[in-house]
Amino acid sequence: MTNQEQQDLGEVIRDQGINQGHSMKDLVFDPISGDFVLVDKGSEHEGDIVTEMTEKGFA
Amino acid sequence: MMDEKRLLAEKRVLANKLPPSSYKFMDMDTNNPYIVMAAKTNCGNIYTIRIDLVDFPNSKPEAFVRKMLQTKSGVPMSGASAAMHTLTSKYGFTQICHYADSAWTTMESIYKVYIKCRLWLEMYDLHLKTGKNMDYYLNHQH
Repeated sequence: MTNQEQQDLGEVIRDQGINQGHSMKDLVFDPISGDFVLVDKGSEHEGDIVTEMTEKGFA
Repeated sequence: MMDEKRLLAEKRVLANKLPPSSYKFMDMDTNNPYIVMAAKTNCGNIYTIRIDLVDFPNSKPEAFVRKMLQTKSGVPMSGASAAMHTLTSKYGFTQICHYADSAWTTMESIYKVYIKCRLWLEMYDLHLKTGKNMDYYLNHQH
């Protein structure tokens, strides 16, 4: 993952937290690769959608 | 302490999701059971997470990175910090603030806590590059 890709991931995660439910991307954790990836909402993917965690936030 | 039925359910989920060599239950017959889990971030940095299971799932488990992390500016992440989503350290380890007490239910799983910790670590890696606080990336629960 390049620095730019990493920063893009962070910005999308930030956006999902601010604008809950309005992101066009889903955050997916692929347990096989162990990576987080962004996919277009509704598209096919491997792994678990965890967007809810970014939307609901952290303590 | 977790009953046998719940422990089996948790083990089943983890076995279904993660490589068996990436986690290990520890001291399960003692008063301080915990699980140690490996986590590799997208950038390839490797961390170890400890999740204490003393009163799991009845209360939110404490979760730690098994080292004392530092901020980009070199400050040990040992205290409670809303900006960095940390709680007071224990065992000399940085404690991750994952679920708010008010958001915790007995339906949450070890796997879900692991994913939150893994996401926290992803943003920690990014913090080290950008210097932005963790709560720039990770929203606060209300």
